[in-house]
This record gives sequence, structure tokens and C-alpha cells, in this order.
Amino acid sequence: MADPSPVLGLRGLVRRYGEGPRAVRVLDGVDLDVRPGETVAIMGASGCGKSTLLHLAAGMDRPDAGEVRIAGVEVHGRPEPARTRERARRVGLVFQDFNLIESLTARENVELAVWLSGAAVAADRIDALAGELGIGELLERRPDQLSGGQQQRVAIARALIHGPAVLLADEPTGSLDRVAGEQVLDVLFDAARARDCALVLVTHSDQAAARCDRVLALRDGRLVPA
Amino acid sequence: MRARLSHGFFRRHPGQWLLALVGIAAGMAVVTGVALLRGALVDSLDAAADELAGRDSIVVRPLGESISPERFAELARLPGAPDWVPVVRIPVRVGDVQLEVIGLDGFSAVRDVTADSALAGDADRLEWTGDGPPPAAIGRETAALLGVEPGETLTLEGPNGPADLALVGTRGAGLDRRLVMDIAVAQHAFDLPTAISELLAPGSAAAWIERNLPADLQARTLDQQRASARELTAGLRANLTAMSLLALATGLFVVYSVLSFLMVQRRRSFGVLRAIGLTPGDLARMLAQEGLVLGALGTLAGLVVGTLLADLLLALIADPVRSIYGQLALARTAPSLGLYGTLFGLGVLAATAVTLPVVREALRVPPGRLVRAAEAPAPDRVGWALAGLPVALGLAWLALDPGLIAALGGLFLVLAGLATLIPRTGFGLLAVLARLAGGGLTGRAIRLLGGSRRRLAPALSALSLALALAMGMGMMILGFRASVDDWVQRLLQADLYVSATERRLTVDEVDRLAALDAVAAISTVSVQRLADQTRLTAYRLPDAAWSGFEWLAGDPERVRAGFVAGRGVAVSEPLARARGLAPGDLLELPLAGGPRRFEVLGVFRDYSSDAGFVAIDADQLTGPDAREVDSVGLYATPGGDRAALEADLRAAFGAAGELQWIGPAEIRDQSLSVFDRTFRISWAMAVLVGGIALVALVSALLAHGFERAREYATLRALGLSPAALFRLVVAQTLALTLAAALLAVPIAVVVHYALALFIQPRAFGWSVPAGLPPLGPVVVVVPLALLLGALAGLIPAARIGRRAPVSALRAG
Ligand SMILES: Nc1ncnc2c1ncn2[C@@H]1O[C@H](COP(=O)(O)OP(=O)(O)OP(=O)(O)O)[C@@H](O)[C@H]1O
Ligand SMILES: [Mg+2]
Repeated sequence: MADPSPVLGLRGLVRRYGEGPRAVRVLDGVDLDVRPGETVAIMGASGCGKSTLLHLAAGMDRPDAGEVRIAGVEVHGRPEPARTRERARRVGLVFQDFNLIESLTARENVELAVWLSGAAVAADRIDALAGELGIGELLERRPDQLSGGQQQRVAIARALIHGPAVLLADEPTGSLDRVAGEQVLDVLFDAARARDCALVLVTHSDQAAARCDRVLALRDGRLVPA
Repeated sequence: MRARLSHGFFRRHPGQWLLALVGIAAGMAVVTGVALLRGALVDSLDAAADELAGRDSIVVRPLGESISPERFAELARLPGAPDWVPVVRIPVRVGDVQLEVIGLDGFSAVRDVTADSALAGDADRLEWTGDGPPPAAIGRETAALLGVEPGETLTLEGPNGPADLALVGTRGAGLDRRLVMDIAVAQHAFDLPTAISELLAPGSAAAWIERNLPADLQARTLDQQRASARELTAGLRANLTAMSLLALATGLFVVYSVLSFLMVQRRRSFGVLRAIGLTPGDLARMLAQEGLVLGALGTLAGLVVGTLLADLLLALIADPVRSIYGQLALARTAPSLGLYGTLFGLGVLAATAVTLPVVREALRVPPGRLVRAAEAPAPDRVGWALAGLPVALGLAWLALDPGLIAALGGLFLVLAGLATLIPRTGFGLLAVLARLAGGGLTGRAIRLLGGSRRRLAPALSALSLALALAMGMGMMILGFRASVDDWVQRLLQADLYVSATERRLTVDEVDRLAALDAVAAISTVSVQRLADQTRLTAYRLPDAAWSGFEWLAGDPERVRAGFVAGRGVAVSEPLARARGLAPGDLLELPLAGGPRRFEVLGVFRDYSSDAGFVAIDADQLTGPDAREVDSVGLYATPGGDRAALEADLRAAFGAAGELQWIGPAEIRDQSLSVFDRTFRISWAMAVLVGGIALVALVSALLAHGFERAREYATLRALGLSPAALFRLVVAQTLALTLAAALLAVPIAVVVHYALALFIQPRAFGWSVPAGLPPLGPVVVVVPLALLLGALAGLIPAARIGRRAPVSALRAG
């Protein structure tokens, strides 16, 4: 079977912080191809550059060198609005600390992603997805009325509702206790698989990593098999 | 450690702290400026009096014009008469600056009267040999005001033309805006050979003067004179103070809105601190200290700026005070440590008071639950009762206590009550705006605002009130001006007004005017000051003139009948208010023929004097010069006009200029220009308050923008483009501004009526008819606010747009 074109392709990514001799090369030639529906775990010591890598992959940051392709579309060299458009359409983002919009209800937070991506999503799709994620009853609540695990499920719904090609999750269970964390991972993996959506999961947890098709480690600025 | 926490937060949000500082500083600057200005308006007389003579010295003044040399000689010859020191006071000007030349007779005599005046030492240098320009002593402050140096020659514009004077420096303090000369030299230099304005006598002559002074002269000690002079400007000063307190209130709104935004940003860290063991007491102390430091620094800055502002305000008001109240202000404001101390206390107290609600909210932050940075569910239902209570209290205070303080306090209470209604109404308005904007970016942006009611509520209230105060002050001034205009136009019923230069019109002249062909009827007015300082105006009025009065109390027909029959008098509104007079009351007047009691028949509107006056039928006055008048109004025959009147006048009196005449239109223009000059300072206050309100607006919106940084970053991460974000932020700030500005309009109307119907009458004694409020200020302030609102949105928007979303997300 021919290798289908990757939904996320990173080539020789370099990202430096600082200037001149004191510059630190956090990423120093990262290569990664993520195939449709594939799940990839990225592990590594704290401060090694995992979040930096995700931000580059999402087009939220520009690499100093190297290439980023999302669903075959080259992103790294394109202007900000184009990168933003690609992200809105093809990427879903899940953060460690949820980053729900405080002033909006859960439903409105999810609708936000529909609006931003410009995707045509029927209203009952939100209820269906929420039901799937176990937050069907909670859609009218605001973030401050939800537990951490519930907030993260809303964030996952927000990340998936517009049907992205790849979901980028940065320690999605980092703020949750073990049980809540596992439940969130369950719904995350199930929902991603059900949609054939690729998942890049940054995590410190070996168990979480073990659920993925591939586990990579970020070491000295490069990705190596763990 | 507490200090370090505060300091760290301060370093992260320097702009917002700076805005809070600006809020306090701006408010306190206006208060300081006005406090210093008030001092400059009254202290000048004290200082000059101290310089010229002891405080117990007695001043003898004529009730009418000046004292003739013959009269003076007569007084000096009376047995046991004190050593009079004749004084001439000559109003002069240099360019726009009004000054007074004081001519004193023989400085040796002054030395007897005065205790130890520095001026006395300058006597020799003020002698004039007849060569070169005559010498005049000038104090340091006055020289600085005029930009001249002792030794130079200065040209002054006197009543009879210009005069050159050689300036002699004097160490004499307290001679602001005054030049001192020998009386004979002054009379010669200004071509007023016989003028004597007043006589000074030592305090020891009090008993003699009491027994022997003729009735047409009036003796008062300098202290009494000062007291009544102070009273003259009391209304003006009270009004300025009221305005400055409104400015301070506006400044405090800035502080409050900034602090409550900062509070939102710090909830998370307060939660952490409380979780790791900071007690509520520690937290309260930390915030109180911040409030104190903020208040102290802001007030200090306010004192400095206010001191500079004071001299600018003084330049605006010195001239009208001179022409309306006949008083000279100090050349420069004179700050004192005591005043600064008081103001400093006021500023710090006010700033601390504003931080209290913020401290209270901080104490309610629960320890832990850190990830939930959000607010508790908003307590939306601020009941009508909560709003109604202060409003009712304020209105009750207004109604029960006729004082100015009550008017101000009542206004503040009413505003406080309204402030609690602003958020609810404001968010209702935002919801409407969102619906109007539809489902696109703009509508969504506005809907996003609706979610954070609680955070935005204080800012929205503060903004609306600040904008309302500025617009309300502007409305009051415009409304007042329109009333003065109406009043003048109504008052001036004659076609031409005739008067003489520097003297009154004789009986013969009045008769000749009445006999002119083109004249159908005449009115006459003569003004005198009674022994108790009451201004008495005697009228003789034809039928046509009566419609010139607007009666505020009393039945017009009855007033007129009683007035002409000599049964009673009418009083102007300020006098009625000051003395609590109403129709039916009795008023005793110390007339030349002895005291007489009159019934008060009616109260009429008048803006010509805030001391007020009594109007009496001219036939009630007796005495040698009772039939001389100050001015005559000429009513043209039917079909005649002003040109015909003027032709007749020229034919009868010659063009030489013994008499002068002026039409109602010119008088109206003059009155309005006097009004405009007088109200320049009120405009200045309104503009200052408006400026502070706009600072409030910008600071609140900037705070809002920066507070939302994380939310905006999330939106960017989710795929909102920089351009769209830019539009979103601007739509939000514009919508907030629009809501605040729209809400401010009805509140401005409330402020307008409070100022026009309560504060003006209580400060000056006159009321302003409650017509529709002028909308000029709205037309200026609302677009300006929207413009600044858009700009204030652009700054955070640009900053956020430029910044990669990553960093805002990381910053948390
Ligand atoms: N804006 C910045 N300027 C300078 N250095 C930065 C910046 N952002 C991140 N870094 C540095 O880059 C390195 C990588 O950061 P990054 O957040 O990607 O690490 P991480 O692997 O996600 O760590 P963790 O597991 O703790 O989340 C860190 O050493 C960090 O200090
Ligand atoms: Mg990280």
C-alpha cells in the first residue's frame, strides 16, 4: 500500500531562542510525518521544547529554519493570516490548562471553533459530540461551573467539532488527577479514532504514550524513537 | 515580601498603575488649582490692606461718586477730626491685565496710620521733581506678571487716557496688581485732578467718626471691608469648589475602574497566595498599602500640576472678577504648606476610600481552586431598591437642606444610585447592539463582552458617570448662557439707552430727552448703594417696560400696581434667596431720609448681580439728587426707529459726546461677552473634567484589552486571523464606549438639572429656567469618546496582533 501523504509534515525544524552567542537552539532539526488517523506521542524532559514543537506545528510560531506542512499545504513560509486559516480549518488544539473562553458557555466555546473554521456544522452535531465526550448535559454551563476534567472535554469538543485533520494536544491531562486524566484520554482517543483524525500527544505519562501508534522522544533538539 | 509582591505586579502592569496615578493626579490637580485660586481671589485684599494700613484702620467712602476737594477740606476742619489720609484708587490696565493705581497723600502721614509698612521706606523715592515720567512703586510679583523691571518706564491705560510711569521697586509685599504713587502725582499723571476715592483714619478715631460722620459718607474698618468683599465672591468660589470636587470625583472613577480591572487580573495570584498561607489580613494590608502609595504619589503629582494650573486659571478669572466684583486678585497664587497638607490628606483619603471595594473583593477570593480564574456567577440582580435608596436619600437631602453642601452631597448620592443601574442597562444596550450587528464578527465580538458583565460593570459605571459629569457641566453652561440671553433680550425693551460719561444725568437732561420728537416714552434707572450695602435701583417705567420683568414670585399685575403706588418694592432673585424674602414679607431700607419699611411685592429674575438688589419706584426717593439718574431708556414713537432717535439726540445734544447711547443689541452682545469671560473658567473646568473622563475611558479600555490578552491569544490559536482579531478588539471597545456614552447622556441631563436648579441657585442665588437641556456637549463629547474608544482599542489590538499567540498563552 502506498504511503498516503502525511497530515502533518515537519522537515528540519530549527527554533532558537535568544540572540547571538547566548542563543539556545531548542529545536535543532526536527523531522516528523504523521499519517492520517495516526496517533503519535512525544515525550521528553521538561523544558526540552515539546510545546515549542507543537506551536510550530500549529503554525502559531515561525521556525528559524525548516518546513511545516499541514495536510500537504506548506505553512512555514506563509504570512500570518494564511497560517491562521490553515490552523482554523485543519488543526485542533488542546492545552494543558484548557483555555476556555471564560465568558462563554461550553456550547458557545464549541461554536466558536465552528465559526472560526468556517465549516458547515449542523447544530445537532455539537450535541452529538458532547454526548460522545460525556458532557451532553453541561453545554449551557460556563467554564467556572465545570470541573477540570469537564472543562478539558469541552476543549476537546472545541478542537474536534470542525473535523480537523490533526489534533495537537499539549499535556491534556497535566492539570487533572489520574482518574479524570484517564477518562479524558479515553474520550480523546476514541473521538479522534472515530473521525480518523491524527493525534499528536505531548505527555509525561508512559501509560498515555503507550496508547499511541508511535512514541517519540525529543532529545537535544531532535525527535528520536523512544 | 508583601512589598515585593506588589512591586512585582506593578512592574508587570506599569501602564495601568500609571493610568490610576493619572486619575488621582488629574482630579487632585483641579482641586489644588481651585483651592489656590480661591486663595488668590480673597487674599489680595488682605495683603494690600496690611501693607497700606493697620487692620483696625478706618476707611471712609462716599456713598455716591468721589469726595470733592472742598468736601475733604470741610471734613478736615471739623473740630477734633483725625488726620485723614486721602487716597485715590484709579483703575488702569496694561494690555489685558487690569491693575489699580493707589495714590496716597504724603507718606509721612501714612506712616502714622500704618504700623510698620515696608512701603513707608520708599516714600522718598516716590517724590516727583517734574522731570521725566512720574515714579510709581511696583511689587516684585506684579512686575513679574507684567514682565517689567524696576527702572523701566511703563505705559498704563487710565480712564482718561494713557500715562507713562517710572517704575520703582518696592519690597512691600501684598501689592499684587497695584502700583503706589503720591496722590498729587497720580491725580496729575492720570488727569483726574480732584479725585479722592476714600479717606483713611487710624483706628483710634473710631469714636469720633461714629459721632460726626455725615450721612452720605460711610465708615468701615478694613476688617469689615474685607469681610464684605469676601462675601461678594463667596458664590463664585463655592461654585468653583463644587466644580473641582466633580473633577476629583471623575478622577476617582478612573482610579476605581483601573483598580477593579487590576483586581481581576490578580484574582488568580491572590488565590495562590491565600492557598499557600497568606491571611486575609495580610492581603488587606498589602492592598491598603498599595492604595496609600498610589494615593500619595498621585496626590503629590496633583499638587505640583495643580500649582501650575492655578496660575493659568487665575489668568482666566482675574479680569472678570475685577470687572464684576471690583476686586483685584493676587498676581500669582500663593501656596502654603498648610493648604498643601490639607489637600494631601484629602487626596490620600479619597484614593484609599476608592480602593476599599477592591480590597473587599480581594478578600472574597477563595484560597485554592486556582485553575478557575473566573469570577463567581455574577450577582446580576442589583435590585431597584439598592439604586432607589441613595437616590431617595439624595433627593431628600436636597429638599430638606437648602445649603450648597446639601446640593452637592445630594447630587453625589443620586449619581451613586444611578451608577448601580448603569451595568444592567448598559449590558441590555450591548445586547441590542449585538443583535443589530448580526451574526458576523462584530456581533460576536459584542456578545463576547456580555459574558464578562461583572468585570466590565465597574468600568462601565465609572465611564458613564465621568462622561456624564463633563457633558452635564457643558450643558449647564450653555443652558445658563441661553437663559442670560433670554433675560437680557426680555429686559431691554427700550430702543436706545442714554447715559453720561463719568457722571449722572441731570433732571434737566432727562426732561429734554423725554421731550424729543422721536421719543414716545422714557424709562429711567438710578442705582445707589445704601448704608447697609444693599444695592437699591430706582425705576421709572413706562407700560412697555414692565414686560421686561420675569416674575418668579408674586402676581405681575398686583406687583405693578403696588410698585407704582409706592406700597412696596420688588427684589431680585439672588437677594430674595440670600435674605429669605418672599412676597408679603417686610423689608427695611436705610434711605437718605431715614429707615423705611416696604412690603416685598414680587421677586424677579436677574443675572446682573449675584449680590442682588432691590427695585423701587423712583418717586419713593427723596433728597437733593434723588431725581438724577444713571441711564434713560428711550422708546421710539410708533413708526419711529432707532435712526430717528439718534438723529434727534444729535440735534438736541450735539455730537460732542456729553451723552452716549447704545442700542439693545449692543448691550446684549456686551452682556454675553461678560458672561463668556466670566464663564471661561467654568468652561475650563468642564474641559478638565472632560479630559479626565476621556483618560478614564482610555484607561478602562486599555485595561480591558490587556486583561483579555489570554482570551485573545486563545482565539488566535483557534484560528482567528490577526486582522479579524484587530476588528474584534476595536468592535468591543467601540461598543463599550458607545454603551457608556449613550448611558451618559440621560445622566448628563440629570447633572445639568442638578447644577442649574440646585447648585447654581445655591452658589450664586440665581436659578436657570428648566428648559430642554442643550445638546451641544453631547455632539462634541460622544463622537470624541468614540474616536478615543477606537484608538484605545487599536493599541491593545495592535499589540496583541503583532505578538505571536504563543507568548500570550505562555504568559497565562
Ligand atoms: N519566549 C521564550 N524565550 C526564551 N526562551 C524560551 C521562550 N519560550 C520557551 N523558552 C525556552 O525554550 C525551552 C523549551 O520550552 P518549552 O515550553 O517548549 O518546553 P516543554 O518541553 O514544553 O517543557 P514542559 O514539559 O515543562 O512543558 C525552555 O527551556 C524554555 O525556557
Ligand atoms: Mg510544555
